[in-house]
Amino acid sequence: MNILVCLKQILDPEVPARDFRIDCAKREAERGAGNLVTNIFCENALEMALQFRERTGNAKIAALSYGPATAEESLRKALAMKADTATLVVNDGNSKPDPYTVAVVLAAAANKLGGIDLILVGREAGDWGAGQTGGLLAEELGVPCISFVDSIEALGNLLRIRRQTDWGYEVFEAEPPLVLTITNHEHNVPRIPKVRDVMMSYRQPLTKWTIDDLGIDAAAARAGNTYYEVADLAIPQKETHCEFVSGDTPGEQAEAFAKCLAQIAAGA
Amino acid sequence: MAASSHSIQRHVGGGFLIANSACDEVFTREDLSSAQQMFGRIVEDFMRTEVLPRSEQLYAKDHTATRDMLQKAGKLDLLSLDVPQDYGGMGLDKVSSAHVGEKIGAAPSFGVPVMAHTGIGTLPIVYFGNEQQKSRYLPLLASGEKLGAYALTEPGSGSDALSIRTKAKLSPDGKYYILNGQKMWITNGGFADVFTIFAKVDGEKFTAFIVEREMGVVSGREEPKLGLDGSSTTALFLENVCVPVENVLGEVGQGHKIAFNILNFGRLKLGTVNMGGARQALNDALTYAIERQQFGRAIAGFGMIQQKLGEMTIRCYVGEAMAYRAVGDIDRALETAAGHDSAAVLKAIESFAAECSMNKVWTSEALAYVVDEALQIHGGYGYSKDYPAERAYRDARLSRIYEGTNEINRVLIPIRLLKAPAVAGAATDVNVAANGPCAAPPSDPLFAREYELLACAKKFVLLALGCAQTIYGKQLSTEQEILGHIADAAMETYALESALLRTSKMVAAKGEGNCSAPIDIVRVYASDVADRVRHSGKQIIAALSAAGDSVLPEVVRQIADYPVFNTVAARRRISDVVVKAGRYPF
Amino acid sequence: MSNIIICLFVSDGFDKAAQGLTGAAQRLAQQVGRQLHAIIFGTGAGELASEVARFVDKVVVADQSATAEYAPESCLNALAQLTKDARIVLLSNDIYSQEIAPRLAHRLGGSAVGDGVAVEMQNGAVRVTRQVYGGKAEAVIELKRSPAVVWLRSRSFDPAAARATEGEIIRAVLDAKPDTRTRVVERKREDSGTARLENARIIVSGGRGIGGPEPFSNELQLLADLLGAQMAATRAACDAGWVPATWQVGQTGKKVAPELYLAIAISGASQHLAGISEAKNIAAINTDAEAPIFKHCRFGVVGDYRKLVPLIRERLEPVCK
Repeated sequence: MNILVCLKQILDPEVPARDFRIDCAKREAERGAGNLVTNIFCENALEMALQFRERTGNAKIAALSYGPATAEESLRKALAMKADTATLVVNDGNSKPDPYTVAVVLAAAANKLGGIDLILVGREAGDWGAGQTGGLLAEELGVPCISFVDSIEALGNLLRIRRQTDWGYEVFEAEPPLVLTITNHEHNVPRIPKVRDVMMSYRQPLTKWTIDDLGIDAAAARAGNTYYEVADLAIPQKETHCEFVSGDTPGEQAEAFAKCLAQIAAGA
Repeated sequence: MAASSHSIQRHVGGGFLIANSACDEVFTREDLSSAQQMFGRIVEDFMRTEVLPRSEQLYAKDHTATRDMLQKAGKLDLLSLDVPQDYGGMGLDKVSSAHVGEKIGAAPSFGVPVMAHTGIGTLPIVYFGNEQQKSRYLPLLASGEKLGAYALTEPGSGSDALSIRTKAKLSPDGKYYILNGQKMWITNGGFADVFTIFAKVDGEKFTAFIVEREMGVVSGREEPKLGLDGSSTTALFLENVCVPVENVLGEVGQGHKIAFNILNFGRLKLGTVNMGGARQALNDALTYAIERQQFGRAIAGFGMIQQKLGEMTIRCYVGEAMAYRAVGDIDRALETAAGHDSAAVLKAIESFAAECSMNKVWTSEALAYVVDEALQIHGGYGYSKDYPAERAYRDARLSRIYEGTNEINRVLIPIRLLKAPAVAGAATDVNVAANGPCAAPPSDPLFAREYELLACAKKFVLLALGCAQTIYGKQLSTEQEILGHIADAAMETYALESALLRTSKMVAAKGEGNCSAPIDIVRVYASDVADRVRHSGKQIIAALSAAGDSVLPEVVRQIADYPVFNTVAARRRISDVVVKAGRYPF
Repeated sequence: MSNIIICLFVSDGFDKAAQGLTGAAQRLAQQVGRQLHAIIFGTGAGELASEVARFVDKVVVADQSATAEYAPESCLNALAQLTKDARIVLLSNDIYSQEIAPRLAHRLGGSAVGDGVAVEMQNGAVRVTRQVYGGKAEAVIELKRSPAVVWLRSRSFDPAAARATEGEIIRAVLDAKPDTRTRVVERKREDSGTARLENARIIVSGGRGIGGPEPFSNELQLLADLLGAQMAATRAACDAGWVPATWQVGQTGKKVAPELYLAIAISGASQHLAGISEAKNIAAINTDAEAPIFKHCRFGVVGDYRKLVPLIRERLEPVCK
């Protein structure tokens, strides 16, 4: 089974709101002092691929990213987590390409890599959170798509796939090739790579392609905005003042807190 | 010409006094490779997922939890960075290991057990073990399956390490040494499995032994300490502990070599570890200062607070510059050390003993300043256990005491500087000191005045060293106060140069416009260095008054000539930069 | 032709989400002067149709076997046929809608965007407002292609106004071949039929600081029972396996709008806050006085929940019984 995991590198979403700033002219977040990290759902996806390989003993895992040069770090980490290969399609165009553009690029890269049976992508990215790349990628490739997946098992030639719903879960049987978008679960928390594997990962080859290598409309891809565009971006101002309940002892504090709770519970 | 006989060996211990480095010759934190940064992130992810959620267990000294955390760290190879690959370790360069230490230093209750295990708990075997000992113990220590500790100190023997009273007597059948005695303040004492224990064979020959707990080591109660709540610290009771003769580490009577060399190694790492703690404390203080409002605005905007935030930033920046520079120089020396033979490695590290000591003293005192001001910035809340400041304050205190007290290290610094052949020669040859390579500072339009000051400072340290040596000869080690002042001047010189080089390198890479804060940092620090070295200088001159030397006062006068610089405005600018970033941005 | 079309799935009936979606669509249709049609999928769509018909121009019932129960490929095929001439397609933010909306846009050569809190037409282009950067910022997205396929945070929108005359109800004409490349083989409800979290009036929620599963089922549950509240949790608690995934509230998880959201041992990362931005009152218990959650609270207490929650319950019992 050849599995392709798509990874996106983003500004650390754990940067506190206090330190988060936007560049109004560019309509995107300021780089600031925050780290660049791999989107958590992409790491959940990679973790699921790794566990699938461990259980079935038979899968090759290719990591792929469409991003700026710094995205190489995310791919090195993927190699350190023991993905087999890593490919970077360098984005030298729009720094926030719309999801359709990303899907077109990823589909072309997947075709160029060839022989892919299963593609795993994160359900959404922690920066723009569009949640569309997986679905659009499936359409580009003409394959089915199941979203919010948290479990994948081999079942002969088929896959048994569980996905989360608002009220519980659904289980599918599906035939590859297909695209799955992955969500977080207790069992797919990404592993931390070992030091030795990090060292190894920097010695492994990493393929780099440009948009021109993919045989798609390069100008449209670089423009990255034929599907949609960010027309405005702002940080909403919120005014709340928290009242810390008074009390010198836990008992007194609990009394005051309970009063506030009861007031709202009754009045509502 | 005199200069040629001191052909530029600036990258050996003490070399900073007799030569000038170019910024591309020193390692700075900005030079950390992508892989090295990733090692750091492994530690951060590990701390966040495995350590922080179980802080309460750690502070309660739940040894099962601590052992579990250490073993999980071991699975990620975090305990084996300094163990050679032949014995199951990563055999990493010292910069990588130091950077990992910086990340661990952010949580000392976990960091200290880790560093005690990987440093003094394992390295004696790495560098002094024979093949059997290394094969037997290192893989287990590297993985964390067995945890290590180091037992030298005794109730009656701390700084005076050679005065220990634990005895070792060979058994009649010649197969065992029987150890009797007591050790004190042993980190990891409550749970370690393998100890490096020092004892005197026949009450005389200072020897190191590898002792397993099952051989009869008994741990005392957990010592109630001021801080480092998560770190196990106990006495060890050795009552007729039978240690096989195969477990003598190194040679009988040669244990002092192990003791002194391992201390150098520990000090080497402490620079970045202390700075990791300082960085964390500064970030906590920033968070508070930005959010706390008084008189209608954030306290981060008030002058008193800006001054503190500015100075704390300076201490972090300069400390990192020193620590990474020293570790980088040592890595370079180790690269050339023949085949990583233990003796060669130790010799290389020993040659930088002065730098290791300077880093230890300077960074531990910088850490003390930062945690103290961080607590102060929190006001009343700094005194409360609900906030992180008080724990950091308590945890930091030990760093001025362990791995050799700062007093001992201050005495050692000038002694060791004088041991470096190039320095000894330059110090006692007044002409060289006064007119040598440092007489001509590198031309740098951005930092012309700072490099001039630096040249004077180097000259001063050399002259002071030479003078003191000439006057006191072999009695020099008894003149502790003078040695202390010379040490201070040497540390400030090393620190200033390290900061200058770090900033120059940054400017070359990013342009002056993008380095306004580092440039301000260097200028403020230089201004303070001028005052501090002048102060040290006056004390030294007065104490050495018998010298009748006219060169020293002249140099001190030149140092005092460093132009007045508006440090108030500069610290405000530095503070604004870090407040805007929301965290220490370097 | 070129209508506004909403897409509803039968499973939840004409609930608050469906009402909000219909309201948003109705106002949009009025703004752009087009007809509003509704497509209802699933077995029982016929019964729901008459309710929906009070608010729209036409209801299309799609309860053929291929669309009786939701399955992504079949449903997508059907929807693509039924919306191919639409100008705007609106859906709610249930997982089925989220899943097929982008794919529908692709099939029709249009553009999709989701989790909208406002939608309008400006100069002939559809513009949607949505939270981004884990809830730290708000963006307006302009769609470039037609049709626009938009899924909304429908519970945040006011319901539709009943029309004078009811809309027409017709049955969908579909060329529906089921797509068997993927097949649903099992469905499991895990929330024991309780009311939806999104509709809860009071919520008691726990985070990473709770430390384990037992406090959720003991301490916190008892408090929730007293308050008549439902339980929820942060992603960290779900990832730790302490509570079911259906309890997760946040950017990826349920978006809730209760009168009172009680956050216990929750630090307040923005991704979690994004799920509670419409709560009327937030209160928090946390040992860390600097936790970001406190900046979004009406009231709070710094302390260990293990000590405080039992005491709070004691004080509440006489009042709440």
